[in-house]
Amino acid sequence: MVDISNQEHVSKIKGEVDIATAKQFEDAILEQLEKEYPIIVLDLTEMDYIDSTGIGILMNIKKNVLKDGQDIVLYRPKRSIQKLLQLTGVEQVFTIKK
Amino acid sequence: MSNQLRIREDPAKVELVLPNLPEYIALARYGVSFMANTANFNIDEIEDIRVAISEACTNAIQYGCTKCDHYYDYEKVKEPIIGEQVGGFGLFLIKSLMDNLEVNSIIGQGTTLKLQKILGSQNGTEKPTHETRN
Repeated sequence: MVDISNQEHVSKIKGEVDIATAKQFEDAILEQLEKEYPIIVLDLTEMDYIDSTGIGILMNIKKNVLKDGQDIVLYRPKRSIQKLLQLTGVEQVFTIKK
Repeated sequence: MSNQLRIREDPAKVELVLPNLPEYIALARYGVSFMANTANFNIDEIEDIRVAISEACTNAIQYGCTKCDHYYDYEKVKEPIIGEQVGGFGLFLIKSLMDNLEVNSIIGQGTTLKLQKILGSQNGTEKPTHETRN
């Protein structure tokens, strides 16, 4: 269950994010950011895979794209993906709700 | 280039030849996951192998060459700055997830990666069954 406040907008990411789908993944997040929700919650419960390309997109958005007052929260990534987030330092930078 | 699955006489060896196109990397993941499961790797090991192979294939597409007139100095690839760096995690993930990595770069022939995962080298969860896989 996702707790949603008035400040949060939830977007569900389904399937696999790799070099073939990375642009689609990035565009989807940027589209939500352009709507200027303060907090975008990425529901990762149905994201089966993400590679370094996708992780790079997340890191770039976090460091270079988010406006003041905006943030992205990662919601319930699968265990296999949690490992990648840990190895690459994403979990140090993002709020992850489990 | 063509995509073909050739089963050799030794059933433990499978050769998968893929087009140099991003959409086919998923096929490499599926294939290696199947092979790793058949070889009795546990869930965590299968996932590690799947990620590492996918990263290697991605690097091949991104940095692969036709003339291959340069040498890839693997030893000079810097470790990423964890928590700070935006990209460049591919080789780091391969090294982190596999037990051994060999890189062989020959001018005119390109670069070959050999990834090795040793069965039982890490403690993992139960062996995946048909009911629990995926």
